[in-house]
Amino acid sequence: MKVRIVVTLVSPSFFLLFLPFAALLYTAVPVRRRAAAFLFVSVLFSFLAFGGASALILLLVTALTLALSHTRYLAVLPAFCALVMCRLCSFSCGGLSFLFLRAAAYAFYGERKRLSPTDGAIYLMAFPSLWMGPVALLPAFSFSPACDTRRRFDGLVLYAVGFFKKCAFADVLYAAVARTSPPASALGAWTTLSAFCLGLYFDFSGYTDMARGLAEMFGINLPQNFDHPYAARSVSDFFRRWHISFGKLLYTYVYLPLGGSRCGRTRTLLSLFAVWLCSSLWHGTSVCYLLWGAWFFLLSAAEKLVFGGRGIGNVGTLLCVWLGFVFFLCPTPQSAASFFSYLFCLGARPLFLPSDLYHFFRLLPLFLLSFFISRGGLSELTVRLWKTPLLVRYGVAVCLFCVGLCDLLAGGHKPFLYAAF
Amino acid sequence: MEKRLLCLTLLLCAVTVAFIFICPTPALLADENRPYTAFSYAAIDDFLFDRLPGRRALLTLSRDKALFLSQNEFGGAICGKDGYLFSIPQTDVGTLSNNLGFLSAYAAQRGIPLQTVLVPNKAEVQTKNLPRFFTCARPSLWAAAKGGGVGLVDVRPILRAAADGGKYVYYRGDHHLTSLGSFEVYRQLQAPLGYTARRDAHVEVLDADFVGSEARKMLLPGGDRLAIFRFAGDERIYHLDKKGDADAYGVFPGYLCGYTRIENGNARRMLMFCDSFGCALVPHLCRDFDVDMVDLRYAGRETLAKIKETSYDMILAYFGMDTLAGYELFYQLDT
Repeated sequence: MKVRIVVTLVSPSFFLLFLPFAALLYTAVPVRRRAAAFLFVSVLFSFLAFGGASALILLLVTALTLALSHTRYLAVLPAFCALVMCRLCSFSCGGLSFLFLRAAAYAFYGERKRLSPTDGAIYLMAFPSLWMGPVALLPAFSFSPACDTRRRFDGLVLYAVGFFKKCAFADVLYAAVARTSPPASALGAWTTLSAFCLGLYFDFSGYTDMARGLAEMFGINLPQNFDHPYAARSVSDFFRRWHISFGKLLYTYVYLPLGGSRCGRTRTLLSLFAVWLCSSLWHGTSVCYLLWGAWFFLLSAAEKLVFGGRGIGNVGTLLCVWLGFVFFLCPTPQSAASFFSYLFCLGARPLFLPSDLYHFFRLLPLFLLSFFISRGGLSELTVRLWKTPLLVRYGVAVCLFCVGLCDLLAGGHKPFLYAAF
Repeated sequence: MEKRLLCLTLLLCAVTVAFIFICPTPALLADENRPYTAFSYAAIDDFLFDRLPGRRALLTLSRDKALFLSQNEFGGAICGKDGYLFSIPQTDVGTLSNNLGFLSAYAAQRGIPLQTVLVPNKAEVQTKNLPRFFTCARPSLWAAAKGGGVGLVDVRPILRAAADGGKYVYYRGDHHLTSLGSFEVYRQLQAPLGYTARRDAHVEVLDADFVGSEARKMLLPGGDRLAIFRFAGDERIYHLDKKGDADAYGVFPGYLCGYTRIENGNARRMLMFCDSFGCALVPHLCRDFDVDMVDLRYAGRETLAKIKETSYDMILAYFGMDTLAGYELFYQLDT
């Protein structure tokens, strides 16, 4: 059963109706009531975004996690059980896998008792990060209801940047994936894979920017989740830059407790194996996710044990990572195998067809621009943007929002890929 | 200052929402030739987007951005050469086979001779106007159509010959055949359907600035010529009152209509299953046949009951290949 998503962070119903309502309510109530107001809008959002059944599950899990917070490991059980049950029943409960991560971070962190139940509930249920994170480790989490106007304003600008990334790049690249798949030649397969991998980056990092911006507007500090991963020089480096909050969580609560790299080769391998097993099971129980985990476990292990931690260069890293993403792109191992056969011209697959040349050349400028931005080509400009006068920043944000909006209007909203996990 | 800008943003949202909910809207969204989405909780995003102030300007900006990045496609249309726009076909051999299977079973069960015409996509005919490297050869579809046992009349050669000869057989900004293109098909069908093509009609241009579907998708002005073949007594066939409408294609009979009966005092009666391609052909056919046009995309149960009760001398299935290979239609026929 699929959950019908009604409100997302890029829906017009969100930015025209829900967000102004939430902002007005939050501003109108006294500071001491803001936490309650924020919780109210977060619960409302969960109902609007995921539907009644999923929202009730999220609420129940949150309540049980908070009720069990005095016990270190039991507190994670409600989220874990709900996640397993939903996966077994093939029930898509939006936001549950990210709630599980937050519940785990909340349960395992020793100082959690310092958080009041309200702050704990905000940590677990805050609507900007409810759906797809980012997951703040507790020391990095802070909620200050009396946040200043400048912070809210900067949050709005960050939301516009994320909106632009999602609508002007991710959705356009996903449309290119739909147009070019299934591939019929090697060139077609590489075109599809490039569009998918670039789209995935803009999709997830766009969401993260929007979530961080919205959180800022409501006085919550969320961590950065991406640091130009396609500029990485090794696979380990890539995962230090991609979905950073998830990587940190696994590193802190799985890799290090199992010994990490300090107790010999066998323990290092065991720790790496556990990390990638957890990572792939968290993404889903399909064979493709297990293969994805196995691929990156092998690469990470080889990098640590064979190359002595040295990287394989940017091009090699990108190649390895993008090949790994084939398992995200293809729903079954058979389709993944077929895709690989096209990528490498195995089994007499053609090198290219005229229609692939058409798509390749028409998408090339978009690919180059996306690739340039995803590697941090505009990071200096972004840094400068944050230092410009308010009006300039506001103008840039409005322009970015309008460009995103026009693409959203033209192409329709494509679902966030990580929302499926 | 920050506070002022935040207030300005909230005010903008409020004004936009007020505009959306308060301002009256016309019956049709003119750019897209469809009604506005009605308000409902499930479709609230579509409702808001349809009424967004500056919608046309935003869409134009998106198109310009796509074309600036040389993407060559926008809103489901492809830019070709010499002002030609092409539609992106989404077809499936299985769907085509299913449709043809139901159709041949229906004709066989009723014992009525069946002829089928599948109009090729414009990209299969106007190949010299296609963008560089773009192809639309679909041999598997045509092989399935030929092997479907539905008396296929292949009109691709005559349309290609006409197009190569510089004839205006497809609209530049629309996927349909022009009246001239339909006339070429009418001539081709005279032997299979058993009539002599008449050449006594004269051509009248109804709209020199016709905006077709692909031109609408691309937000481009018209520029196509919509003409009809006029002959004595044709006022009962064409809907000439619709020539000033936003979609001038409505002058043809049976457009966007599930069932249309055209009686002209002919001895033979034809059941014509068709999509909108049929609308430009039927004025010629109804000079030799009384025609019941059925567009299964809009037909209801009453239509199906009505055609079941009527006896016909012939069934003609006349569709664009993209329709018949894109949508399951004929399962509705009770065989």
